[in-house]
Amino acid sequence: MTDFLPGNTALVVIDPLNDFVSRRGKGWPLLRPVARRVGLLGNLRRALNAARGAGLEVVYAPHHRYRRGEALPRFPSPNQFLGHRSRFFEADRPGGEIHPDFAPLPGEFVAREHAISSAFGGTDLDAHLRGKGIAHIALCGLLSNTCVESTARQGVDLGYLVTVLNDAIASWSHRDHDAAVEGSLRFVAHRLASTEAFVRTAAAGSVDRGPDSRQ
Amino acid sequence: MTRHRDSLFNRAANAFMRYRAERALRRDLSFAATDTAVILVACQNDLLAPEGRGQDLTAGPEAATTACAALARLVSISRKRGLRIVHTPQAGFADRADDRPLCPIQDAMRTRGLFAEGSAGAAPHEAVAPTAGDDMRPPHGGLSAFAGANLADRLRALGMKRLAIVGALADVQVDSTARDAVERGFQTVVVADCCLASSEVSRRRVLAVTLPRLVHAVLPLSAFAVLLYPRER
Repeated sequence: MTDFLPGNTALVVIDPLNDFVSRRGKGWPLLRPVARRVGLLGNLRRALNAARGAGLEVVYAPHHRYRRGEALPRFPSPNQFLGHRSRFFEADRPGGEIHPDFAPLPGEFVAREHAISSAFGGTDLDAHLRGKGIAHIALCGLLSNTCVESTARQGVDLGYLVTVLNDAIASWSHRDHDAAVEGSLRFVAHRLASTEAFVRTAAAGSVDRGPDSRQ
Repeated sequence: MTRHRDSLFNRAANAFMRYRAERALRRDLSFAATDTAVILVACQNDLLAPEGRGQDLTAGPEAATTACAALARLVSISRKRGLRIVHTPQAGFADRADDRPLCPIQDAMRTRGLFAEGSAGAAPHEAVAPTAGDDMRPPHGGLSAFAGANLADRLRALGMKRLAIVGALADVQVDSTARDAVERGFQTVVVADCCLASSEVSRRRVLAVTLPRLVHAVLPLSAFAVLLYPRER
């Protein structure tokens, strides 16, 4: 049940957009300390390669793109307000595009944009995963305590087994990141796993479909 | 465990962004009886009462007493001002109809036998004892009170647009319920002193670090009370 098996498991990559993870992204100066500390970019690459190599489903959950002239909703959340003001993830600009290192391959599913924080919120992600028979989701991407944690929480309520790759996520500050990985995610995610453990288990699952005891 | 300190630049930038958002959103914080509901999340004896089966999952009896006193004040103020009180109890995890895998905190609640149907532990704590006008939702089995209990439809049918979310546990059900409330378009405030967390550290993390980024405001009860409309003379 806790293995990462083809046909059963999806790697969900949340918001790997340039404004977060590109060196020229608007958010990178603030995200860099945590991203460097956990090895975010390398781990995202490793997790993607391992998932593809093992034949796991890979899905993308991008955030809402800012579009010129769009109005804020009646009650914008603090993140929505700030994103709107700073034109974060602007559509048709580099900031709103998926970083080329993490770009989806042909045939990989890109969910509709989520507006607030959960990748399931108002999107077709749940329908797609159910259609593929996915029961286990492994989450990586950004940000640890907002979009990733919201997706984990809603994933639990939707009945998925939820694993969070705790070194393939990052947030605005060490405080924010630790609030998730040392705090609430320990209560609400079924499992926290390192990217290394994910890579090892996924590879083993694709070979002999059994748990791997090698170190 | 290594503690990672945030740089001065990082702290200043994050504080500035938070200040900007708070200042902009503060103007819209005004709570009238016509469109505001108080959501009591899992305010049940098993978490809030000293003899509750989930005592060891909380920050302890002192924290529970403080939270219950604040909850009683909130409920009394809200009733006086005509706000809708909505009870959203947690269901027990022993005989579940669905086979959703339980997450660690739900499993801890299951092994301790929390919220067993019909037990004293599943009943509302006396600080929030229901009265005739309250809205009693059926117990839900999720992290979020919005999970499968038609809560959003019910609130919309009642004309509710703004929610004050309180209860237990701050870092588990209250957090999930608050995130879901924002997703569903409600203006969402969390009244901090009316929440009981799993520990003091966790309480600070959820109420001072994470939720202020996501919900419209995290306020102490004293601040929430003066935002009720019409203003008390």
